[in-house]
Amino acid sequence: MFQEFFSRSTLLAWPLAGLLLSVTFFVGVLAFVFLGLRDRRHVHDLASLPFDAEETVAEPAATAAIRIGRINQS
Amino acid sequence: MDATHMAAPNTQMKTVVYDDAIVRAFSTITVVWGIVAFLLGVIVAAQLSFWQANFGLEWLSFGRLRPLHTNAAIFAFVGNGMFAGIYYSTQRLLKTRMANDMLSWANFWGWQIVIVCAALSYPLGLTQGKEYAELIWPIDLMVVVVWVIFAVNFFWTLAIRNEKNLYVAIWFYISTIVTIAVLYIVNNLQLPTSLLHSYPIFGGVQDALVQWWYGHNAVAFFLTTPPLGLMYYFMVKAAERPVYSYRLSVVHFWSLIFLYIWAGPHHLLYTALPDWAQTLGMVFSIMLWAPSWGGMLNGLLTLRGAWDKLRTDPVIKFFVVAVTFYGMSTFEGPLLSIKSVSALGHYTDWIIGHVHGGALGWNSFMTFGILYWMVPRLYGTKLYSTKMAELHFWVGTIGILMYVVSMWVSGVSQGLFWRALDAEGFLKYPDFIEGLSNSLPMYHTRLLGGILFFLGSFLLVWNLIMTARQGKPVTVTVQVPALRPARDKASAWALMTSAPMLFMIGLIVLSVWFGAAGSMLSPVVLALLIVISVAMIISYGLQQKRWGHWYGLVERNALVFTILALLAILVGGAVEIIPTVLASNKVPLQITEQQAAANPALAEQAKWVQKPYSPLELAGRDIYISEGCYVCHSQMIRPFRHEVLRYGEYSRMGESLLDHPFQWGSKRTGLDLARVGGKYDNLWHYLHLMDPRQTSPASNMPMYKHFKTKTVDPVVVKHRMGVQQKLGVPYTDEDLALAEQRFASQAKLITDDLQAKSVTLAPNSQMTAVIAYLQRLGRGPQPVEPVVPAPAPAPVATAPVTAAVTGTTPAAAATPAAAGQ
Repeated sequence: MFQEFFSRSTLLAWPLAGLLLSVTFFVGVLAFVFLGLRDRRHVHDLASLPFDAEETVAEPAATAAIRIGRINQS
Repeated sequence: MDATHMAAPNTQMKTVVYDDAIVRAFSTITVVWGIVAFLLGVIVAAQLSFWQANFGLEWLSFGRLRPLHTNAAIFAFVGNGMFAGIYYSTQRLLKTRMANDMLSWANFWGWQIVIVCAALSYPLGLTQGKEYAELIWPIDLMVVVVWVIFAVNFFWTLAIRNEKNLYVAIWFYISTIVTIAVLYIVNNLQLPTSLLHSYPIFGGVQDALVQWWYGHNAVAFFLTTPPLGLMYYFMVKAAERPVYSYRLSVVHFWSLIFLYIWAGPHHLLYTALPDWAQTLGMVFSIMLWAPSWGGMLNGLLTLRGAWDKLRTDPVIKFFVVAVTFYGMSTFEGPLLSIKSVSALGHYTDWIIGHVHGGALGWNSFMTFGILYWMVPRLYGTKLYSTKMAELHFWVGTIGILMYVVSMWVSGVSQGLFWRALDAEGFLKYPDFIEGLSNSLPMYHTRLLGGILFFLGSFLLVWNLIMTARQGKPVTVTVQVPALRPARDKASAWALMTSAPMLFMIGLIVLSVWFGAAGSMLSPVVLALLIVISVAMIISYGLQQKRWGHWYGLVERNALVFTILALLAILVGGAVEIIPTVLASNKVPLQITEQQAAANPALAEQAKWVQKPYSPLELAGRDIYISEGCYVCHSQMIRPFRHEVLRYGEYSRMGESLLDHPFQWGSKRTGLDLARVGGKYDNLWHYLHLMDPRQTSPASNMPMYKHFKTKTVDPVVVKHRMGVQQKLGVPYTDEDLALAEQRFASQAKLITDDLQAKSVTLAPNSQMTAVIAYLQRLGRGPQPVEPVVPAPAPAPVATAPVTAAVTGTTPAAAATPAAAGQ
């Protein structure tokens, strides 16, 4: 397959440049992840974001509308 | 609440009221459109099993309903589910209500109007003729308006958020919004001919590349990145534990969006697309394995320590199977992108199996899981029946497996059947229909699987209705720190011009330059690349803290983050599309005899260049597109011995350069039609279109009897030729002036021929136009006026084109029979 590819391609440089580009990009991302995101606590905080707002109050929409109206008025 | 996110004692708190009414609306409509999409799927599957299921009605024929099914599944079902999930999770992750309720509802109603318009237009045959982009231009404009409304609302919400960090799910939503906008606009650039019809500005190979750049990335950025974002929120919530590796999610996100955009050309392997672009598509598709599986493993491993829930919680069951199907589909996709595998699988049912593994297994199950988790919370109650959800899970899973496995068997069988050669090197199975007949048991199995999946969805409907009835719509309020996130000192501009950014841009520019540079310059560019890389490492070594801090700043700055995501997706598209556009623009449409003598290679290339269609042929082509013939018939013969033996000389790039839109196709339920012109006489085509069983007893093609009674207006055709002229199709002013006359005279040739065989047909009927178009395919311009027959005509199947008064230019008459159209 590679033999066929190399013999037929007239613009071989584009796939090579694409590969080079993606490898560069990938290495860059890895570098940032492993060198830039070293603060374990910060990473843990980020990962826990979906659990941040647990203090929710659920109530029927009609009741809430009245209460929200009062909040807005005040 | 996490300790680090607790508000300081003196922090003022504010009350945030989430807008869950919009989430309830999107959730409800998701279920409604889901039922419609699944029902349409069952109908089109039945049509492939039993041609009678077309009911002899033009509005219900397979070619018109299939785009309705795909669009309903993608944009109506998954799209509304995506909006529901995004509106729910975005508010909670950003700790704020959506910025503007009116925009939210405009998004909702606008999207539903688009879907209803699509549902009305496809059965009427109003289509652009491009897969997953069939909507006609006024509806396209509506889509753009609705998407802009969604984007404004989303980014406005980002701007007023009460949480400084952007969680990984939000990144996926951002990439979806910007990428879909780019893809949709570029692929739908078109020139209208009327309120209901247009021609795309790209033609032939350019249109093919742009279409599949869009088509593949519609899968990537509509069916993959939004569900992945939703996975990172809803699966985490259902499992009640944080994502397995946040670092892995960063790698997953950036690698995925960067690589995905390059993979489109894998839909065009072994076609007339330049070889380098095909290889690029293949290589990047294979590289996609890594981020896709990284994401899948991250999702599954999130359940570490919570696998026991799999036994009791149907939501987790749906999520686990969805993510597993995601892994399976993203394994299969790169596999099918390997050229030798594509040679076997392309155009077969294997692709249908692959697509439905993703659509049913990944998208639908993800959506079902989200609905089962979210709806009880939206109504302040518990799920009505866990057992019913369990039953839905098993019925759906069995349905998917029946569907996917039967399509694998059918697809691989078709691939092997088509390519089989006997000992002498000729086709072992020359009768295409024999292969279709062999696939029928698998089509029936697929239909059963689809019916199971469809029936299972009613369990979801009942369960969710009862859940809503036993609860009441609730409004959720939360207390959050009143402080707006402190604006980072670094402005967007400062971030964009910081050292990491400049180094990254430098490396990207040099990499692209390396590709464009010649053999003399490329070593210099490579040396520069190495120098910049070393400088970057040194810079990092000297300023480790600043570099580490930089990404944190980017992650909190929505504008910079969005710009970076946009850059990541633009590079791939630009590198592939721009050279292809430039290359195909260089193909000469006409050359002189002196040029041909001086440059034989150019002469060979020019020999295959397409000539414009006659007015009648163009009318026939528009009808062919309108009926969706391309969903079953390709017009692209690949350079394989078995294809050349079956269909004729393989297709060249120049042969479809003037086709707006291209019609290469992606599936062969029927034969390839690239060179069908002249293979059969007019009577055969007439009988075949009236009832395909008259000429091919085992065919499952719908009947097109309405072609005989419906008419074509030559004035409209003339106007359309004028629009094509503006797009670069070399119609002369004389061609336009004589359009109506040539339309009538070519039609008379066909109807006279049929009259001689006792068939009466109106010259301006759609049937006449479609026959003219089919007879043109693979041949040069056909006679448009009565001519004296050549002295000794060759047999019909191999007859060369008779030089005659052409529909276009006199030079075109010299085009060889085997050459381009």
